[in-house]
Amino acid sequence: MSWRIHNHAVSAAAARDSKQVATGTHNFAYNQSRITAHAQLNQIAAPKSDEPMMLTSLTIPAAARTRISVVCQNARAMRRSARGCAMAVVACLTVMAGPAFASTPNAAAIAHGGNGHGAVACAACHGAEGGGQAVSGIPRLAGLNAIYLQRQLESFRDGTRRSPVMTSIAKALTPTEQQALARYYSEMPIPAAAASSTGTAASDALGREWALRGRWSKQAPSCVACHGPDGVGVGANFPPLAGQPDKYIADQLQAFKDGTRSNDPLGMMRHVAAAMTEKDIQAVSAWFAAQSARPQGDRTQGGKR
Amino acid sequence: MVRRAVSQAAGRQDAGRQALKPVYTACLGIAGCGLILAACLIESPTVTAARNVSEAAEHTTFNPAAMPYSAMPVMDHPASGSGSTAAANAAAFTPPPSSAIPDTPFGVMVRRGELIFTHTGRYAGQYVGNSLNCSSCHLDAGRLAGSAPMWAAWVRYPRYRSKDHKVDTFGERLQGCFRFSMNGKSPPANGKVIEALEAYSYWLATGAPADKNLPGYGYPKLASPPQPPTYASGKSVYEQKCAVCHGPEGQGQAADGVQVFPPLWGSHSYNWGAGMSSVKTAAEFVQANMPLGLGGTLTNQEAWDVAYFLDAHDRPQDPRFNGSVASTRKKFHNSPWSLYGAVVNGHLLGGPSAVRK
Repeated sequence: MSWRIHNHAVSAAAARDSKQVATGTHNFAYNQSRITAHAQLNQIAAPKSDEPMMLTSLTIPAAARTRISVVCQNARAMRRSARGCAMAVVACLTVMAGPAFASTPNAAAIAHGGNGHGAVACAACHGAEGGGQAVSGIPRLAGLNAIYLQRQLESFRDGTRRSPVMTSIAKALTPTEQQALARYYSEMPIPAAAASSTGTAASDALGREWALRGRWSKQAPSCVACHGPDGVGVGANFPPLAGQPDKYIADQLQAFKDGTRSNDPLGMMRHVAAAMTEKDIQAVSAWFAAQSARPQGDRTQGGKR
Repeated sequence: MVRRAVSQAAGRQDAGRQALKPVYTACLGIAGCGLILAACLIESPTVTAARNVSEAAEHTTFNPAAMPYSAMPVMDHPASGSGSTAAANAAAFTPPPSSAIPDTPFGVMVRRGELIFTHTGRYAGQYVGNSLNCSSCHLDAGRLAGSAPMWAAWVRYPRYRSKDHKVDTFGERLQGCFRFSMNGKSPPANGKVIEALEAYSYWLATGAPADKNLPGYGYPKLASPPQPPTYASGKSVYEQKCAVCHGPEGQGQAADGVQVFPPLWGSHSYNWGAGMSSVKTAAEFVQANMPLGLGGTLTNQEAWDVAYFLDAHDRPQDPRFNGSVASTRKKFHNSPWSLYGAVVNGHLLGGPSAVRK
């Protein structure tokens, strides 16, 4: 079988290589044929990049630049005329600004004023500073991972996440608008929210146990094992729990449990939520709601209470 | 005349004997060599068996599938995910809850051990050289059956270990963990770090029978894969099932100063001397325990494939490296389960780019 022969050749090469390594005369060129053979055998491809999509930034297209220079040349010709100068300046600004607005959505404008075709202002519910509303169970958006935010909007569109409010809003946003809003909120500073504490001592202990140890008898890892110390959030796949409204966290756990939310990678959250009782959900939600959302640079363990 | 003839004859005989002396010597020499040669060539059966295994290993070094799979043990429980891991765990010993740690000087030492176990770089930092914790591979703070729990390990020692060619105490076993899995250095045998970890392990084993093979010890044995594992298959499994936590380049993920998901290869992971650098050990761990909380859901084939893929990447050098990759392999990694010394994608694993402490 070809792989067996190949491996024998590889082992011989390795023996030679390591001799060369030992004597300091390692010659990588010798391995070229084996690189090819090995690559073909194992169909090795370049690792897929998991870099976040490059979010569009403000750029001036080439055609617009040409127009600008033409307008500015005309302006120089009229520079003795003050009115001509003013007109030229206004013309330049209009030419520069026009294409920019047409290609990149103004995320701040949409966040605070809606997009004019079905998506109301995000800030109306999520707060002027993106901090959410604890009482209503509306989550903080400020400082969340941009890819995570964009995926949630996509999930509302495709039904893997359901909300009577968010579904229609997400469908009214174009993909470009979604991307721009995700980036906008990810760059907002995390507001200093008052920690809400609604639990009893007993539920504190239960919540803390789920958060920090999990329930391995039901194959449920601790929440912090994936969501980070005190639930501060990790990367694009594990959003912060710390400081989110306890009603929001509880609603999401319930949604995972009953299947109305199904956009969790590998179904991990559906598996965890299935292991939780109503009491567990309330307790762990309250515990995380009381944690500080802001990075501390030195979280070790335990959090508050 | 007769005398001369006789003496001539005798002289000829003497001369003949003299002439034959070198012949006799030669014959004796040849006979002696022959005896020695025979002794060399005719091996004892033990030597033959050992030589066959090492030759087999040499020729099938980078192909775990060439091991005599029929000789491999049958799994303790089915490989396909069906909650079997949970069922196996339920049957195993249950350690006391952390809340039961007594409020005594002994309890203080137990808690210290638990902290070291779960935040190793922080609480035993001077002996740690990477960003792993003990609990990275001994899940649920060393409690979880099927994830090399510490309560089962406690009652297995002292025991002979072929890795060290001697009987190791539990403390010596722990020292090895720091040297290899944590890519650090051995804490002193009678120091506070080893003492704390021993106290913690001993306390976890409260009430456990002193049986060296408690159900749930180590990682469950895994049957051989239907197909030989390949880099490409392992890469596919990794991208679908592992990268979500461990990152596209195996670097893990950190948040707010804490390594949340450990690196699986590269300079911040375990070194080539660690048990996890064996494809077999990694496959057993992965099948029973990964993805986190979804242990038992990977197929047998997927577990072997991704373990092969993990081992096909470089990591810090084996601390026992003696200057030659081939020689180090022969001495410490002479097994079909190790890709140490293999050339993968043009890169010599364990070669010059492997980080040397």
